[in-house]
Amino acid sequence: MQQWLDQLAGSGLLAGLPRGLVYTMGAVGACTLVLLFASLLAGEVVWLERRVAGRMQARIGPNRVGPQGLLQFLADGLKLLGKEDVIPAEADKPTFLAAPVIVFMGAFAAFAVVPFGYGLVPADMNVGLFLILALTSIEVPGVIMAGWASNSKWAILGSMREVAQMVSYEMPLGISALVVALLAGTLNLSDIVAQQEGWIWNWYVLRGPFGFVAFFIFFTAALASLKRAPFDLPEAESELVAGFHTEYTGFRFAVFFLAEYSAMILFSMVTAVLFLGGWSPGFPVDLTGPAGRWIGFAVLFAKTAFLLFTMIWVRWSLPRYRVDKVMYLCYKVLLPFSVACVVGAALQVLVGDAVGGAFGRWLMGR
Amino acid sequence: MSEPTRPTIPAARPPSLVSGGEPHHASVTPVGGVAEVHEQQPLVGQDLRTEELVFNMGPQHPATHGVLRVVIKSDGEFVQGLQPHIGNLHRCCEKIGESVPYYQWIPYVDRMDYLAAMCNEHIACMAVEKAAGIEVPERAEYCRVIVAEVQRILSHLFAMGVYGLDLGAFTPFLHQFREREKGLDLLDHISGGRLLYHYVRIGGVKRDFTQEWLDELEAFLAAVEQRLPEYNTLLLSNHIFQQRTAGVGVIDRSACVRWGVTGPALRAAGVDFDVRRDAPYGVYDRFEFAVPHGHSGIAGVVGDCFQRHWVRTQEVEQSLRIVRQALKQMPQGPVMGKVPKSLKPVAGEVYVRGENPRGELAVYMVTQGEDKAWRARCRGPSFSNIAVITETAKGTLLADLVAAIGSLDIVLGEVDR
Amino acid sequence: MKTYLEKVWAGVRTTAKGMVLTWKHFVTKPVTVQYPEQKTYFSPFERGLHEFEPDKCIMCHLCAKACPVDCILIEEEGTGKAARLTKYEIDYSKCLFCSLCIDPCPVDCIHMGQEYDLSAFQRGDHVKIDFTKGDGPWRTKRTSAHPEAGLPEDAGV
Repeated sequence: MQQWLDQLAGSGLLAGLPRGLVYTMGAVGACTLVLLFASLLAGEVVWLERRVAGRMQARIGPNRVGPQGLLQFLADGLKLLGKEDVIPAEADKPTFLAAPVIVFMGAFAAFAVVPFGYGLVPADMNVGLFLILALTSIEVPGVIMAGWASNSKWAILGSMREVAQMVSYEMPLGISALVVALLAGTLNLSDIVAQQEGWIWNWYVLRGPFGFVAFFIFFTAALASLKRAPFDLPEAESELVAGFHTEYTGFRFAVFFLAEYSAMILFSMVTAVLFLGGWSPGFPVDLTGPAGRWIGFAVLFAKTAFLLFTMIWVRWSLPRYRVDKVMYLCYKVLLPFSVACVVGAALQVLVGDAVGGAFGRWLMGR
Repeated sequence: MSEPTRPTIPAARPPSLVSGGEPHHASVTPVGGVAEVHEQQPLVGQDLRTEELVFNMGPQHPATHGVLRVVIKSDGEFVQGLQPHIGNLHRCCEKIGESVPYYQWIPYVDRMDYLAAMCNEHIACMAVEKAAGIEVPERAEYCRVIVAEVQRILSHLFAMGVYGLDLGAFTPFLHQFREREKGLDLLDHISGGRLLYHYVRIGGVKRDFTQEWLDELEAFLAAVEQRLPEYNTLLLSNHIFQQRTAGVGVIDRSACVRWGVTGPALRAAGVDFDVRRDAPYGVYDRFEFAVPHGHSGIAGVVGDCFQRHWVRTQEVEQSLRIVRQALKQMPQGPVMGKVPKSLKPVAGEVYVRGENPRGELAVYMVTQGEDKAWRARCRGPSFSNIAVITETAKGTLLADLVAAIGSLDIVLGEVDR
Repeated sequence: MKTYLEKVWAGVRTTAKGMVLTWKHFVTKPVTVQYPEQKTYFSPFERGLHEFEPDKCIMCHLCAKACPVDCILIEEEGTGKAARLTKYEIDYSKCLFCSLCIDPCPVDCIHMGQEYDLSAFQRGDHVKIDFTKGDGPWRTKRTSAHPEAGLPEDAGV
């Protein structure tokens, strides 16, 4: 990214402008591009979900708006925009208005550190993994604000459940990400992907049993963090109508909706980057050239699509967990298993160090 | 004191459910934060005062199986007491029974339990036939049994799918519609209607089965038999489903007897009672079928939601058995008995009961020698089944309440008539 | 400890079984009938909108008397042999589609057909339908299967 900005500043048209201005314009341009890409992709993930859900339920999903129904999200968006913006009379207005923005922000900001290809990362930070976990936690106060400011019993119940769930599942999420950090020896996502280059057994999901189990724990904790079934109590339609976003109408609801699907895409990408080799296709090929990096992007996209499909598949196959069972699952199942994985991964690194040679390096995760 | 600026949550209207009847607001004070400035609630240094939340699971709600309103008094997540408010679907079915002739009342009876309409017609026609002394030909009785059992299969499939929906499993709901569509089309091809049939008439049934229809029936039975294990994979055997329903919403034997609960809910409580076997009507005494009831050999506690669901899946299999036996035993003959043109039964009263998919539907009819009934009282099973939760749902979690109401499988058309 | 691990394994196993089943459905052709390009089959006994033949009607009012909700309105001019049917109106906001009006007709002039679509662009349209006026989605001749066409005599069509 820095290279690209330097190139931009040095190129003919923009050479006369002050550097800072060029950098700002470049950064804003890159952010807008990522934002647009993520929004469009979120809209298409809605389409994918509805079609896949339909096929799993022996029916066809939406297939009328546009070819195969691909423009359905535009129709949904237009419909939501056209609705009346209702704010409950007793609601706490500033909090009510700020809540969707904060949830949206948490879901989108983390895209800045995801490596889309070799060098295709908006902000190549040495604490990338940590930043992602931190930024996605910003959603939590947004949800509390949404529930509280709605001034409705249903909304409050929903947001209380949601907060308990999201905050608790940050633990197994972080600890299983720690397994990858241990094996990789770095928190920099680009470096993590670089160490998974080569053959398919270099992927962290296949580097020993601990990576394998950590993958499933990370994925499950991500599902819970995203409030997706089977952990979707906060949105449990049959019980609380719509949980913490009951009172939001029109475009504000669209923002929540978009934030949820963008977070889905984000977590799928992060899982692919951490465990499934990111932009490397599983056999040794050089994808660092200017054309190669876009091929790497396509590979990452395919992996993300597969993980998104799995998220949708799980949602439409399972009933919903009750709130105490969700907590049981987090503290008594996922947490012990993830801690065991961390200990195991640390031992694996030590053993790899002692063994030495190529196999030792493979064990160590380098 | 300044005017309160924080939002408050006002209590629901009926003051009788609020403990002590004090006219204050039920506000949820934030932990450790600034409490709302309220004259009864000093700020710092006071223990956190929590109150019961009274709220409404309103008539428009995805999980109340119709227009049922439940006012719940809860302490956060635990239910302290609840009161169902029914009557939103009251359509004066019994009053209409007093205003129109008998044969014109039968289409109205369809609409009570609209998920198993032919069963309602069956009981109502039986009441009129008993009052007037009309004899129903044997083939008509077999036709009635076959369609009643097909209705039982369809109704239980629907109940299982909707229960999955209540618990968050969206997929079995649509899978059961696939079989239900076949069944609805099947009944449409013989009667002309998909949901409200008007097929069972006073004196017999409207028309005989054609060979084409019998083939379609065989195909339907085969399809249900093939798909039944799939519903069990997604629901009964599923670990999450078992966690949600085992030990939840227990309605024990004594509660069932005190509240008049009948049907699968009664059988799941361990009571081995079925009107078709113990007080047979029509030709039910000629069939061999098992009556599944809850016991400790399967998962869950006797009388809980899981066992109610299990009883329903077993009843579907038994209904398949009954239909196949009926198809073998059916004699040839007319399907409509001798019904006088103007039906005027002698003065008297009859009480007829039958096993609907939801429980025991009964019709108490008082006749006065006219062409309309003097009183046509219907005892809907869902009425008693929903009443029992006022006692058994105390102390449960809110999510369990939804599971309990769903497992009782009520239809508001029958509760309100 | 053992039951704990068994429960965890049971959770994973039943989840996998459920997901295999939904995968099987995913790769199977769906059962949807895409209306309006495809339509479902109706039998001749289908109770759709009425089909009324005004030429055959003898104005005996038996159908109006048989209706449970009194939705049939019949008006005639003249008496005896010179009677003429001026209005035969069914109020579809009341009609139960129970077919009790079909059975008593002595000249077999009213039937229930296979049409069901009463959609209109104006709010009051297609509610009260007068069959003597002759326009609209209903038919004034019989289209469902004739009793002679292979059905038993007491089919009651």
